[in-house]
Amino acid sequence: MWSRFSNPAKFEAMARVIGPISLGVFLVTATVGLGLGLFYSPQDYQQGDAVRMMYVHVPAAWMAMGAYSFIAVMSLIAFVWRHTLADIAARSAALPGAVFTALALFTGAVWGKPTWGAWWVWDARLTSMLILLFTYFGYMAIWQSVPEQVRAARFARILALVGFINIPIIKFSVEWWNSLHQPASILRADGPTIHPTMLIPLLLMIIAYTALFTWLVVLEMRTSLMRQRIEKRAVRAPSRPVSAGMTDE
Amino acid sequence: MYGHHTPYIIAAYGVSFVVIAALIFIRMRAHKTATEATKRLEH
Repeated sequence: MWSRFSNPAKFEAMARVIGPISLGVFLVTATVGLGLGLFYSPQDYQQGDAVRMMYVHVPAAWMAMGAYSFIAVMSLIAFVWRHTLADIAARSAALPGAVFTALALFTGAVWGKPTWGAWWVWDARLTSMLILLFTYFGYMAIWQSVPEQVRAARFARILALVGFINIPIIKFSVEWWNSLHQPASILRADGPTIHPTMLIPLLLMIIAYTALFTWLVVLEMRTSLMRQRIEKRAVRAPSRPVSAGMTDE
Repeated sequence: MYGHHTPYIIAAYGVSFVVIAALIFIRMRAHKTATEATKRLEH
């Protein structure tokens, strides 16, 4: 099964389909979700309009954990099956994952001030999310700082897999420790506790963020594959200035 | 529009929008640069 996805040419063909579909899903669901969340969903009986921050905070927090889980799974695949594209996929997901984590922390702080009366508390959920952000920074720093790509990949995989222990800690922190943060209200055994007028825009925004993440990862993977091809050609023909303009990131 | 919550909502949505737009811009520019470099190589 994995060998099918390890062929860059086959990936390229798939990416040309997945990319535009993801972008389209993102644009449609984000437009409808934002419209419903900002203008049609009701106020919360306790929080008032502050609840509208949920539509950007929860999707960012879910994708922060989702992106890291994706990196960990790709790192495991790279470790076990030496999958050609798994490391590229994991590395491509790191920046969007870090951005979603930072956004979850920022929007959480902005939501926390009017509801809790504080921008930040050293709560288990908030602290474990901050550790996740630092883990993302560490993961990206390894790829940037270790010059040999084979060694960088090995270190990055180890960090990704060790750091994955933080994901269940984030998820269950609100149940294991006393927390200001509310417990899960969507993924519950007895069903969601949110009214459909709020649940529908929230789910649309979660789909939008997931589609955006998919599109960004696929786009970056295609970019990385192009860079690899350019570098290989540069090694074969070192006299040509083929890498000009490739240092913008 | 949202009473005393308006500045918080503007901050949350505004920063999310700007940061996501910047991320999209960075990734698209990198892709465009790589695509152009590939085309230069092929010609």
